[in-house]
Amino acid sequence: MPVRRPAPLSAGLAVAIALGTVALLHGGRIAAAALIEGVGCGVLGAGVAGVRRGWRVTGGVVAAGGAGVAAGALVWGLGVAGDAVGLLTTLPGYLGAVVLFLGVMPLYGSGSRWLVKAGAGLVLAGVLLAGLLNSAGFGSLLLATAGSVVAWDLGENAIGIGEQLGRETPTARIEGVHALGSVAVGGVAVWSVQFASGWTPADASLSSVLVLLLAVLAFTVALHE
Amino acid sequence: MSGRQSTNRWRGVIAVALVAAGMGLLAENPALFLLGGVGVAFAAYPLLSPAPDPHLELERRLGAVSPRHGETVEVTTTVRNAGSRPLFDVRFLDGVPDALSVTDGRARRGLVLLPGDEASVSYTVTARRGKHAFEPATAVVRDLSGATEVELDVDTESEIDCVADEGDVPLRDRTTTPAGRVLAEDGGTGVEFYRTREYRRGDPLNRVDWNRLARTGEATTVEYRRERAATVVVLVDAGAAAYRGRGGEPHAVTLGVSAAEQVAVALLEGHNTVGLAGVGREPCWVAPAGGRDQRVLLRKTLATHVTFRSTPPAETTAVVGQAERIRSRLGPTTQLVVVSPLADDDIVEAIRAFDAHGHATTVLTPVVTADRTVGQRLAEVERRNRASRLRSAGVTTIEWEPDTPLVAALAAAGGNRR
Repeated sequence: MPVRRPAPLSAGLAVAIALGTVALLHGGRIAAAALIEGVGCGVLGAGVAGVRRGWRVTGGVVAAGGAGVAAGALVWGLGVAGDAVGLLTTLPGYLGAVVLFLGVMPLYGSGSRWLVKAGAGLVLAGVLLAGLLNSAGFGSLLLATAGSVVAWDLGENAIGIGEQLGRETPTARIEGVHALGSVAVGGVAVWSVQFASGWTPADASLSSVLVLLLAVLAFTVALHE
Repeated sequence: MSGRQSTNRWRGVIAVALVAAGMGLLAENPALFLLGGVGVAFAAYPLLSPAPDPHLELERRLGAVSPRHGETVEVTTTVRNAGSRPLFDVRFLDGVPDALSVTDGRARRGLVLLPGDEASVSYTVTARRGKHAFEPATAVVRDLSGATEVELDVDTESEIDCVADEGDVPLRDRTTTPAGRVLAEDGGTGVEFYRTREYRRGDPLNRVDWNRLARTGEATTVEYRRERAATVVVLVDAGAAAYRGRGGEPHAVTLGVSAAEQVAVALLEGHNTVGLAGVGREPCWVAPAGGRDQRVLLRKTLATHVTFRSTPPAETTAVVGQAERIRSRLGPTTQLVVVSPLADDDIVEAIRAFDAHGHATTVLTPVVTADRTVGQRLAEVERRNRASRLRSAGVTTIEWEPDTPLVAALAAAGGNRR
C-alpha cells in the first residue's frame, strides 16, 4: 500500500493557527516573526513534497531555503521576546508550532499523531504560562486556548484523511466543513466563557472561585458519563 | 456491513480544562482558571454531536460493458444521500475489481452530502481478459466532530466482461457451400465428404475439429464437413485449489469460466449439443442440449451458479467424488472439454477417469503460476508435470497464457504436436 501523507489543507491550517496563537498573544514583532516562520514552514513543506515526488535537486534547494527562513524567524522571534518572562511564554509556542509542523509535514510515514498532540500541547503550555504570568489580556488568552485545541484537531484530521483517502483526492470540502465545525465550537466556547466571567469580577474572592471550580468539575464528570 | 465505532480522537481534551483550572486554582488566578471552560466546551462537542445514520444509494455507469483487452473503460459512480440527515464527512472508496487498476482519476473522494444530494466519482480503468464484477463500495461516514465513525458497504451490480478479441476473428464466408448441398449434388448418400486443413490463427472456434483434436492433439479446421453433431460437456474446475492466480490478475476460475463460455458458445454455433459441468463447492450439471435456449441457460449458469463464484470456497472440495457423479451422467459418446489450471492431483485423477471410461477429453489449462518465489516455481513445475502426465496418457492438453486469446493457443497447439 502506498504511504498516504496528510491532507495539505488541514495541515497548513493547523500550523497557521498554532503560529497565529503566538502572534495573537504577543503582538508586535513577535507576530511578524511568527508570520515569517509560517511562510518558511510552508516553503519547507513544499520543498519536501517535491523531493518525495522525485525532484531531488529543486525540492532540496527549496526545502533548505524554507528551513533557513523558518529557523531565522524563530531565532529572531526569541531574541525579540526579551527577558526570561517573555522567553518562557513565547518559546513553547514557537516550539509547539514547529513540532506540530513536523507531525503533519510529515516527518515520516503518514504523519505522527503524537507529534501533533505534543505540538499543540506545547502551544497550550505557552498560553497557560502567559495566563499565569499575566502577560496577555483575557480575551486573547481565551482565543489562544481555543486556537491550540483547533490546531490539534485540524492536524489530527489531516492525518486521518490522508490515511483513508490520500493526498491527491479532492478532500477540501470535508476538511473545510470539519474545520468550520471546530472553529464554531471554539467561538461558542470563547463567547460563553466571556459571558460567564462577566458574572464574576476579575478580583473575585477565593471562595467564589472555589464554587465555580466545583460547578465546572461536576459538569465535566456528568458529561463523561 | 455496517460498523459504528468511536474514534476516541477527542479523548484527553478534558485534560485541557483540568490543567488550566488546576493551575488557576493553585495560583489563585481566576482568568487562568476560566480558560478551563474552553476545554470543557471542546469535551462536550463530541458528546453533543449526533452519530451519523447514513443511508446511501449508489449508481454506477460504465463506458463499455464488454470492452476488448487493453481498452480503457470510464466509470462514473454516483452516490446519493437517501437519508434525512446531512452527512458532513463521507469518505468514499469505490469497489474497483481486484484485477483491474485505475489508470486515470481517483476511485475515492471526500464528500459532503445534504439529504437528497448526489455526488459523482469518475475514473478510468483498463480492461483485462475475464469477467470482473465490481466489489461493494465502502463509505466511511463521520459526524462533524469526528468522534463517531460508521463504515458501510454500498452495492450495486456492475460487471465488466472482457472476452477474447472477437473482433479479430473473421466470420467464415457464408457463401461457401454448406456440406449438405455438396452431398446432394454429389448424389451420394452416406458418404461423408470433408476436408481438413491445419488450424490457422483467425479461424473461428466452431470450425475446429474437436474429435480430431481429442484423438490426435492436432488442431485442425474442418471445411465443407457434413455437420455431425457431437455431444460435448464443458467441465470447469472450480475446486479450492483452482482459485489461484498471479498477483493482481484474475484467478484461474474467473479465466476458466470465461473460456468455458467461449468454447460452449462456439460449439453450440457449430450445431453440437453442449452441456456444462463444474466441480468445486458443489457439483454443477447442465445436461447437453442444443439451440438458443441452451446458450442462454449455459451463460446464466456460468454467471450465477454458486460453484463458479469468484470467491474461493472456505473448505476443501471433494473434486474426485463430484467428477464421478458427473461421469455417471455422461452418454457413451459424450466428449469432454475440461478447463482447469491443473493445480492439484485430484483433477488429474478425475480427468484420467473420464478418459479411461471412453470419453475423449481435451484439457484447456490457463497458466497462472508466477515464478517469483520458490513456492511459486515449485507450483509451476508441478503443473507442468501434471500436464505431461495427461499428455502421455493420451489426453490432449492445451496450455494458454491468460494474456493471449484462446484461439491463439489453439493455433499454437496445432503448430507443435505435443
